Amino acid sequence: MGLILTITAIFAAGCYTVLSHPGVKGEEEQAYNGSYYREHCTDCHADYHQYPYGYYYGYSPEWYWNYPNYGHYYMYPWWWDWYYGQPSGGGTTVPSERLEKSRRSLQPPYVPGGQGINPPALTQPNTNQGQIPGTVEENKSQQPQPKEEKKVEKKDEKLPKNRR
Amino acid sequence: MLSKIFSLAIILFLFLVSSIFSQEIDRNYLQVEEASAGNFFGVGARAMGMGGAQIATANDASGLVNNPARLAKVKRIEFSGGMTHQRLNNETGFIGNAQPLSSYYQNQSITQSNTRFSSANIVLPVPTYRGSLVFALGFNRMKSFDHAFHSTFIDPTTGTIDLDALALETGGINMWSFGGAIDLSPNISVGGAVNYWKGQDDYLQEYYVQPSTKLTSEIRERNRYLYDYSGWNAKLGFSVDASKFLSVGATIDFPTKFSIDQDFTFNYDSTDAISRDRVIIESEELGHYDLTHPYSFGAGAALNFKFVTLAGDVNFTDWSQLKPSARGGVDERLYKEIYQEVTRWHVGAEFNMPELATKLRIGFYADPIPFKSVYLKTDRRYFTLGAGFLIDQVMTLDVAWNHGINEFRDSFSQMIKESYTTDKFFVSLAYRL
Repeated sequence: MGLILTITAIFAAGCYTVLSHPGVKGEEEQAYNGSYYREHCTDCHADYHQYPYGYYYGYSPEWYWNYPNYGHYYMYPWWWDWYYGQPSGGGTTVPSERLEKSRRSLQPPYVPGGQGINPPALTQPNTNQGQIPGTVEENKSQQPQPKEEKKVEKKDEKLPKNRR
Repeated sequence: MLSKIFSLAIILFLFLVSSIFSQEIDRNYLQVEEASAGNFFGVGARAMGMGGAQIATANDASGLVNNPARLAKVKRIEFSGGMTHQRLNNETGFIGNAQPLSSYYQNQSITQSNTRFSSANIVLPVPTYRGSLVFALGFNRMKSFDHAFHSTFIDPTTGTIDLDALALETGGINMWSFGGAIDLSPNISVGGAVNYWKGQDDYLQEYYVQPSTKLTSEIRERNRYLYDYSGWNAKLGFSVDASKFLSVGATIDFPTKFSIDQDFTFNYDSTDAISRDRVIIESEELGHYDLTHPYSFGAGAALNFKFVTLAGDVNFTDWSQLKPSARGGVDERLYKEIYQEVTRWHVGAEFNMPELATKLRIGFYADPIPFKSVYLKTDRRYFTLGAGFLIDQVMTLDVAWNHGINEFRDSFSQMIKESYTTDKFFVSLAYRL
């Protein structure tokens, strides 16, 4: 009984783990035009660079960047292969045909079989107009959004919605 | 009574047959051996290379056994399997050259080796945008009953064998598990597993008493105890990465209720020294009883430096809370009197050498016997070594060696020993899609 109550409490309390990114209205119609592959992700997820193997996938040893075989085995989620393929030449290209099916995990920073990509120094949301995130569809997810995003939306909701 | 209250025959035998002892047998010398209590064996070559310290460091399928919450750390679909080889040596006899004038033990040594398939696991991480959700299914060999004993008692007047005793025990308990883990925050995970336990214990005792004079009989006795175990329990685990450098974890093993079927066969064959009349007795008795194991609590911590991980675990079980069913014929008070609280502890380290795609491991663990014994001289301690190899970024091969000792002495003279040396070898292979 205690076990059942514990498990029930965990799930009833609402869970941190989410399977997919909240829907972003109009995202599928936009081409990804960031100057580097995670540029727009950090608009909403300022702390993303603390988790180079994915948004909140936990800590990983920094030396994995220099030994990507370890990064691939221990930290690289298998579904990144599925949704993003095995990128080559820098790993910054997202196959458009898979975008729609994507779990909307942030794009992988790690390139299997190659050198890791050092995360950019950007740690604060970028508020340039051309990189303003899109509108979050509230009826698709209960996932709370960062305050920065809401402030931007009030300024101009018609700006390009190209964030991933 | 079928339950194994045979005075831990191995040990008590030393006491009973030795004429140098004059004390009366009292309750201090009574042993109740319940094979399913304790008898930790270890799961996973990575874990056992690190002395079994895994509550805060498991990062593979062994988390299903050691701390289900750590399954949340697995990001790729993993198939893994493992084998073990145990070589146990037991030496009995007198210590040094001292021998009593009246009678003495002949030093004996017996070795038992067993190679077994020990684990098969599948870990399935569910694609997530944030956090982790992982399920796992597995089979793991949790307890080993492999054990051997041989003792020979010499009649000094004739130089012939007066009594020869042999005990062989094989078997173990396997655990089928289904579990899962989920991240509750970036650095907090919780997990659980439901376990089905199934196993056997095959214990054989053989005694041979040779007539030392023309007035005594020749006796051969053979007792065989077969136990068939099955039971269910659950395990909860928690894991917290307090920082990049510190991880902690905790586990709760809920009570396991074992259903135990017994088959006891008794064979006795004696020939009277004078009349030469032969007496043969053969009997078989079937029985059944239930036995509930108590809660177990585990806690662990790990320090993660750049290329080095240091880990330590403690695991507490109050075995005096073993609870048999009334029909088992074993008085619960006897368990309370003889069994005791036990804290098993493990420490280990892992050194990463990424240039060589190799990890080296070292560890130590103490696994105290769960019952009180006036014969215990040195409790079970194991020193461990291990290595792991990352192959082509999709496969790991881990190997480990555990070397353990423990010793019993007679409680009176401290001159008769029963000394165990155990070597365990673990091999695990994992493939991640």
